[in-house]
Amino acid sequence: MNEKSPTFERRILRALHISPRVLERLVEVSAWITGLVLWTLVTLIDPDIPSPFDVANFMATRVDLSEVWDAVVITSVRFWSSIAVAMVLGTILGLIMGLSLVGRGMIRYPTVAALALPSFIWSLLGAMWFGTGWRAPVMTCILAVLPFIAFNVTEGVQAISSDLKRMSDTYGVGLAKRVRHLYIPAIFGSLLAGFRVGVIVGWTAILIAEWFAGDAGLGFLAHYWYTVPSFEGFLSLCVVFVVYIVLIDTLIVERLYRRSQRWRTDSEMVQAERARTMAT
Amino acid sequence: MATLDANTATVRGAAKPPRIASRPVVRMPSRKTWIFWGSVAAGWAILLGLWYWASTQVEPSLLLPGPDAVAKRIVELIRDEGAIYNFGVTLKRMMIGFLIALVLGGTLGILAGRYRYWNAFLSSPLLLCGNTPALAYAVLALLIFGVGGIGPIVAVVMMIVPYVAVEVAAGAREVDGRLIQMSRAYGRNRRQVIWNVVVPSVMPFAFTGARAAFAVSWKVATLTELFGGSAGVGVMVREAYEGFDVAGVMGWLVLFVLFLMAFERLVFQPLQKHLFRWRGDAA
Repeated sequence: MNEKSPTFERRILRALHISPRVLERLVEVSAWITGLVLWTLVTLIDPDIPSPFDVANFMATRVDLSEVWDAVVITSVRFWSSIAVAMVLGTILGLIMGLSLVGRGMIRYPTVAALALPSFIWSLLGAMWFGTGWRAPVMTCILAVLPFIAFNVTEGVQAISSDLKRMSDTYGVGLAKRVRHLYIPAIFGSLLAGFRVGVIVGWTAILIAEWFAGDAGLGFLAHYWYTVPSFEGFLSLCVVFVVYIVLIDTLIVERLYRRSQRWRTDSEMVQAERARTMAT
Repeated sequence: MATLDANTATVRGAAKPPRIASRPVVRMPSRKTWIFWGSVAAGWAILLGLWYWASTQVEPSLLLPGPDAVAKRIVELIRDEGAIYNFGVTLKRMMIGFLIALVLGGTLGILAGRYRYWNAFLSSPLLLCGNTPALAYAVLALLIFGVGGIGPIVAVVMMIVPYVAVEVAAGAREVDGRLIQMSRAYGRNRRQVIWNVVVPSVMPFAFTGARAAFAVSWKVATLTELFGGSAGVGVMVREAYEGFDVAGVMGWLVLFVLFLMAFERLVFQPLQKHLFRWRGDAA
């Protein structure tokens, strides 16, 4: 274990005349360089594996950008519409499970079973049922994301303060009004937590489904390069997969989530974080 | 995995006040419990009924076999097609990858959680590896290692390490600073502090991470086998798919769920009770 003792750290800081913040940045950059070096070393051992330069070269010369862009658009449309459907259905199921004992009994175990299923099984069934096209990817994505949303919403509903619930009882607040003014605001945070997990899960699901049953889209394109076969082509597509989801996660999902949680105290925040990771 | 336990009414993991009394209270099942389990039975009955009804409506019946046909197929899978053997093959590969990932991810997690510069070094790689879709790992493992046992193991390690590391790092950041100060004051060295203070404190986090990661690694191992392999559950699912055997794929789906739930009940829950018996609230 290469321990960074305070004196060692201070010695480096003094020698380089930089602040700890800058050193942190340098270490971050060195991680990227280390990664690229390791990758290159691997290609020296197994020459079949394309090096980072091969992939960069392939992307610059062979990849048709407009083709990739079209695939990104097609997959995005399918992905986000499936997520939207899953969010709506998941919220409904979650509310039923959170509010009613009978509902919880009826839906809970099928949902748990759905959580345990790998999405590729749905995509194979979708491929057999619908053939190639948009239906199988959309079905797979919805079914993969739905249970995560439902569970998070249930947790959110069950965590609502019982004081507020009793107060609504006392004042005879109706169900519709209760859902709108008590439950919806309170579950918004857990819904977003579910959304965050759902985006990751759904992204994998839709790519696999497009691989097996797509007629277009990123998964289909990856399958095309795989059957060519072109290792470089497949790796270029992998870069697109990762960049897409990292951008979505850091630019949109993470910010939305922080915003939705800003009214919480730090310890509640930690609790919510743990609930989220348990749901994954 | 919003814990797969059958504890009736509560979903675990949500904010919950610490329980002080640890002695279990023996109670007769209440009316609520009866209602709950009654609706569980009703729920499954409705689901199976709908499935059966749908299967009679779809033509040809090959496309959507009913629960009875799938049940018959499951018996065949277990009796004639070596379902148990193939589960064993996949389980072995998966467990090797899973254990490697636990050790590696735990180590990286403690480093990232306790040391500022390790955190800076590891954060981007972990973010990147954690967000790479399973499809990429599965296909790359096949392309690099070919059909065989190593591919699924490597895919599981790549997929699970960031998972466990992020969880353990969160735990390591939360370690009680006063305990560490005290240990230092009594002249404990860094290694003793890590082994006797940090590691026990991150255990609950590691366990949570491992439990969730178990289901994920099972999925990744089978996915890798699906793309290419010589034996294992993934290979069997692929064969059913290629033979347009819808009942077979659905049968594997059911076996899959049963396997994961059984593992959760028979291994993780007892293990959790055992590991955390020193904590009063055995959460």
